[in-house]
This record gives sequence, structure tokens and C-alpha cells, in this order.
Amino acid sequence: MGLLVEGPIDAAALEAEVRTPAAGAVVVFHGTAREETGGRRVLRLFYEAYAAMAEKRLAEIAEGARAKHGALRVALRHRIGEVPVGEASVVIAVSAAHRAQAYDACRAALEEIKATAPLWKREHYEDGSSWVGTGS
Amino acid sequence: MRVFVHLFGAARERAGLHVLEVQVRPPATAGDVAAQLVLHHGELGDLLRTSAIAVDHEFATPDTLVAEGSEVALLPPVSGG
Repeated sequence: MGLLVEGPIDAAALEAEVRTPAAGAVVVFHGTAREETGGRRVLRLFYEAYAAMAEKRLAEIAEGARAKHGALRVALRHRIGEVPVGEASVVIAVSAAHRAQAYDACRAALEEIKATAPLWKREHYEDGSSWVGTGS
Repeated sequence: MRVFVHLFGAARERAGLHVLEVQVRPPATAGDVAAQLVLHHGELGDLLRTSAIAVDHEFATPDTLVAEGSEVALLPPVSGG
């Protein structure tokens, strides 16, 4: 299905994928690698996926958010492997007839990814690294 | 029967392996697989308590059946996004 990608995510292509004359709103969310966390300087992130399950989950999440919030189209990608600071680890594009549906579906998809997609983030610092959420 | 448990993230690193093998008696459940991991893979530490189990690419409950050839995975707390 190809919702997991290595290398930069083509956000413009995702936006083009959801554009439709029926839309009154298009929202594109970029989740980007921040340069610090808990006071520590982050050099880069690394994402690992359980690829087969993550592809399935991400597709279900996109369709679930679209249907639940009455959006028209949802397109998303999650990056795996190394993500330099400042670049996107996840991009979600949503079109809807009205802005509330687009914002709500976009946010719901992101929260669901964070809670249920089998993906793991490792933060690399100047003096070490750790898996987020497990502290090791 | 033999069940292969795929490991990810911190669990993969702690075990030093991508896949663990456990023995369970059929008919087996995800709970039986978890119990075998607790018995034989203490190196996973608190991840045995905090991780979820997936069977055939779906989150499992302790009652989820594990058949011969099922794909089982131990999923530490996820941190995507």
C-alpha cells in the first residue's frame, strides 16, 4: 500500500491527492522532528515499524477518520528510518466540505496514529539515544 | 507447537533478536504466549508488562487464539507520529 515511506514525504502530492471540487477546506498537517525534548538537544529521530501491521493500521485510520468526521478524502504517509530535525515524520492531508470536518478528521487521524500504529521512535542526542515511551 | 514472536523497538534491542520462539500447547491463546515470554524471557523486563501482543496484524486480547503459523508480535508502547 505504501503508506510507510523512506526518505522525505511528498506533502504536495498528498495535498493533490485529496483536492476535489467538492471540498471547501483542505488541511495538511506536518508532524516534524523537533530539536529538543525534555531539555535535551535532539540530533535526529529514527522510526522503526512493524511494516505489515502498520500499513494496515494506517489505512484503517485514514478511512476511519474520514468516515467518522464526514471528510471527503484523507491521505497520509509516515516516514520510517532516519528523520533529520526539521523534517516531517508524518503528513496528513484531509479535504472536506467544511473546515471543522477537515480539522477534526486530520487531528483524529494523528491521535489515532500516535495511540495505535505499530511504530517506534528512537531519539538520538549528543550523548546517547533512547526509545520514546519505554525509556531504554 | 512452536510460535514465533516478532520483536520491535526496545524489545528487539533487549532480546538482541528479531524473533523469539516459544512453545505452547494447542489450543493456545495470546495470553499463553505472553505467559511463556514471562517464564523464559525475563530479559524483556518491564516490557513484558507494558507491551501489547498482536496476532496476524491485529491487536490481541489474552483470549485471542494463536494457531500454528499465526504471526505473533510483541509491541512495546508505540511512539509514532
